[in-house]
Amino acid sequence: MTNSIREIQDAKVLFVIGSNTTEAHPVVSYYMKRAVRKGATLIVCDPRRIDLLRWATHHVQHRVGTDVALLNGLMCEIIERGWADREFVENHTENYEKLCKVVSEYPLEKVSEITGVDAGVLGEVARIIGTTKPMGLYYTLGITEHTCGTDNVMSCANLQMLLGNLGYPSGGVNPLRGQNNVQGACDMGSLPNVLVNYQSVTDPKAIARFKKGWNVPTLPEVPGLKMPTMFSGMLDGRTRAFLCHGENVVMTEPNEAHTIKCLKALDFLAVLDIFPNQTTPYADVIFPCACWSEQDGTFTNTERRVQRVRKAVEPPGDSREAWWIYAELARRLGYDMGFSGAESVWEDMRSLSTSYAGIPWSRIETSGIQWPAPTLEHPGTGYLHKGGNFSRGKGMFMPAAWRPPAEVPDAKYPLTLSTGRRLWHYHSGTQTRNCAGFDDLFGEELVEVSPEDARALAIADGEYVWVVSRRGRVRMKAWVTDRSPKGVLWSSFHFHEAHINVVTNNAFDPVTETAEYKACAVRLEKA
Amino acid sequence: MDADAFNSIMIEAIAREVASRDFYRAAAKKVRDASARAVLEGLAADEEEHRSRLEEFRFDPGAVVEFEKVPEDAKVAEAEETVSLSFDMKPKDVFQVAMKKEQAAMEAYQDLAARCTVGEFRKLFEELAAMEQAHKTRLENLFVNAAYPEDWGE
Repeated sequence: MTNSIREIQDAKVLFVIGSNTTEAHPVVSYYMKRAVRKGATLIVCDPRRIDLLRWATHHVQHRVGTDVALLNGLMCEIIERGWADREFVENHTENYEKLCKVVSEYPLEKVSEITGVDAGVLGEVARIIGTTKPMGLYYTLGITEHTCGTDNVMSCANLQMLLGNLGYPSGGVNPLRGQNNVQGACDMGSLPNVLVNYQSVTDPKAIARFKKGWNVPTLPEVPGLKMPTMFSGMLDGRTRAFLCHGENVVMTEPNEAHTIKCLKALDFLAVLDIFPNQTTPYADVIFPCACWSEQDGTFTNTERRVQRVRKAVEPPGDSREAWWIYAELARRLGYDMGFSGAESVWEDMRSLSTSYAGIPWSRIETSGIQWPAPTLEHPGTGYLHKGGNFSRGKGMFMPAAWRPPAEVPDAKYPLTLSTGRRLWHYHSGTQTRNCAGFDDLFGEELVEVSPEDARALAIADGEYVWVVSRRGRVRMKAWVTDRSPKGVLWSSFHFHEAHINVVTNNAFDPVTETAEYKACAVRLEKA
Repeated sequence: MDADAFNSIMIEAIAREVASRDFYRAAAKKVRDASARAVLEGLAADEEEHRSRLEEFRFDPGAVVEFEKVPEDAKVAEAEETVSLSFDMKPKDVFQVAMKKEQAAMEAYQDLAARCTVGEFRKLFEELAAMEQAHKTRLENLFVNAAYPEDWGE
């Protein structure tokens, strides 16, 4: 997030797109509700009738995969009506002419045809966001999990730059992170192209710094592979060994049959996890790993706040803390990392990261600090790009044309399937499916079917159906509800017994290589 | 305070601002990146404003030279390496150069204040150090805002 969670409550307008916030980020949703109670206008853009709508003033129910068209249409209207922040655009951005040219192709009538949203609603939303500040924009995986995910994110940033809502409290472009520590994992260099603190592996200065810090003669200087390429590499020999940590890939990757085929082709698979799961049967070695309450460390949350996590109990049996497993693996491969505990790992990282350099554990004993905090005296940073200063200088408008999802409905597969998360369960269920209480709350996977589609297919509420795509079929119970619009099915991937990622599409965004979990073509059959 | 000594100290301080202004103006003509050029031009304008303020003090015999104090020094400049100007500088590099320059100026005045035995001159040097520290803090904030990328992925 460019801004902080606490700032949400002081926004005048909240623009939420592709985020089922009350279910996926309930704590953040409290601040959204608080903002509404304080008089904010809440605009929710989502194909489904999600719970957050109970607090919303406007629902923009656009079709799955039409986000770029929607955002371009709003920008077109904002520019035409003279609502753009001219001062911000002139002093803090570039490429405005290109933006104008691209979005001018999206008048509201055309956007209405693409998105299915009434042009009057679009115009009213454009007026509200174009004339009210600060407006905070919030998105989640409904934006990123598309083959056009990068275009979606860029379009969100374009909108906020156009309106001058970047670099100020309660504004910003705010991706709500998918897990409690996904921000921290990225910050630590758990990406194939960067080291700690987003220092590029192709930057000779960064490589020199890390070689010196780690006392090693060489380090890889070309970016590694991203997930889909890692997996396709398993089939052609580019990926021969795979270390899988806390990621139940059989459940979380799209197109389960493809995932399993890839894993089976590996020479060697090692898994670090807290319980056996759907991936561990394919492992040659399983390292039983301590869970969050059994190890010391930190989480960095969605607002860049670094928080201490403390060991409450010892790991059971032969399980070990994650840092120890990695250090021991390295030692047996001939390199002594020299770590004595989680804090020594942290200190090693801190010595090589400027944005975390001012955050020793002693400073976060009682309260977290938001990076960047480059020195011990620095208080941390609540919101980024203060006054419209960007890492590259001026913000670059990156306009994009709308394109449909990789797979759209046709005669054989006439429905669109979208997927997501439920309040009661967490991701692949390695944790929540091993805790009986959660299954008492929500114990069986369902597929949402609109009343219109249910009538047309003579499917009753609670009846078992097959969801069928080009990649496979999965049997689950139908939930006939108007939460999903006509032509759209929706389900989650928490239940291995009815696993929706059997049918999802493994087409991916060309830049991030994030798969298109949010849109694929399916049909429904009676089971 | 001795008028000649005061005048001499203020002329030195003004000369420092003028040198910085000219440094940024010259640098702005050399860098390739348009954003970095704009930042340098902005810094040159800032230094000109500082010069103007010091001139006002210099020619106002009744003026009390006093600058706003920075409540907490985050010492960001102190933690960063000194970098040289180059054609390929980006805005964050420019901020890094500038905040290091302000740090050097602040430390020079602090040093003078520490070595000064005359109370009223020591106070003047401390005020000038405070002025440079405020400039440094402003540039540190700009640097921190520009220097750290974030990832907007999952």
